[in-house]
Amino acid sequence: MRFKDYYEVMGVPRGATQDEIKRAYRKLARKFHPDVSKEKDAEERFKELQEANEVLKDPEKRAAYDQLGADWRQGQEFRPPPDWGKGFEFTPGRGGRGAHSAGPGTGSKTGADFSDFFSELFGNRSPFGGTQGFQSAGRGGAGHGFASAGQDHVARVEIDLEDAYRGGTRTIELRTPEITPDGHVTSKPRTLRVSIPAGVVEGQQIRLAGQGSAGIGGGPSGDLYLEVNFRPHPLFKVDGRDVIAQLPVAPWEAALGETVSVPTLGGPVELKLPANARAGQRLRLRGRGLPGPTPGDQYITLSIVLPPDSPEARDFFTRMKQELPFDPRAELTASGRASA
Amino acid sequence: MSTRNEDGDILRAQFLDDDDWLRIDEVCTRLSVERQWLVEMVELGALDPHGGLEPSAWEFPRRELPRVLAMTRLVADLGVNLTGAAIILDLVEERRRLLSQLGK
Repeated sequence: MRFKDYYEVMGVPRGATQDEIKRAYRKLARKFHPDVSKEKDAEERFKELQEANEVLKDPEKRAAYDQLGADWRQGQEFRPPPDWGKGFEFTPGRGGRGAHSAGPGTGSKTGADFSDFFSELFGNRSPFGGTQGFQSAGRGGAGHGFASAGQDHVARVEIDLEDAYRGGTRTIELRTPEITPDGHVTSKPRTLRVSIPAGVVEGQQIRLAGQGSAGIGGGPSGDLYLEVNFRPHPLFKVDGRDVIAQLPVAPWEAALGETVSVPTLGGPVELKLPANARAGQRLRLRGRGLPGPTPGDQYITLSIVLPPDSPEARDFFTRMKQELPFDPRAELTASGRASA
Repeated sequence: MSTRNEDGDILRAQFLDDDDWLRIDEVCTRLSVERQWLVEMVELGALDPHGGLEPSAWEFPRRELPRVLAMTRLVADLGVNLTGAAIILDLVEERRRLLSQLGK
């Protein structure tokens, strides 16, 4: 197994006081809490942090951990010393609170899949055992001959906008806590192939029935909720079911109100521009957004783009300058004068 | 367990229907929370069940479950209170909407 440098995880020196550890934990917990954080690896980081805190916040566990010595490095191959736990006084019946002990009942059990390192040194079978949440996948108290449904879980999944439009099959990787025959908890990667229903929107949750925790004693499995996030798209932005895009047009297309091809999620459509269209003008393609009970619209914002520089283009613009009396700032100068 | 995919089958994700309601005990089991915790959430207005005054008669919309779970974790992990957790989730949702409009 790999050594875990809990001080490094917490970003504190080995000599940190319990108060400093508490402060470091709170600060990092705010940053990496998976329900708040935008960091990609928030869930893993938060789990590591909870594990480090579980050990360092507890003077007995911390003292035992410190006895391993200061020479170990994060990730180094590690075997627990044969005399691990000897010479320590343990408070009987201690550690009866799970990794999530505060407030809301038994709470969520993200702590149930701490590392092998933790589980070996401080888990159920260790001298520090008795910590709930390391038995029966976090559902302590379920005795033999007792059936209970498994827990629901939530995971985040990133999909392409095209998949949301058409529906599509995505492969997602999850880490699921699992109990080994010798009573350790490991987190096992799990791959699911999921068909995403068409018309899902950013932030929406969809359900995979029976893909949460396994039930106990033949009870039904919990469900897995997937929170859908869209990957950034090169052309489109989204607001609910509405799709927003920029559309570059040539000055003459805008001036003459030409018909132009516009990309939409369902494929290109032809759009007749209003004559004398302005840059920044917003046009709506009704029903061309994401599908749903009320399908979204696609909005396009026009940007007027000049042709690339060339002698011909310059000749042309020079002629326009000479032949078209036009001051685009006439109003600005007029109001400037009025206020002067 | 029969629906677990070990053989690479494609799992069909479903939308959360508006008319899918769960009894309080089922919510407790699914989220691994105490009944009293849900009662507190209701009292603070963080959850709005059907079914009158008696908690045993309450029914909760399934679509609220991920939010209840998130609030529970925020309270347990960060030491905020329920009102704080509800505000955090509202702000996270608002941030998501704004970032999405910006295409990020």
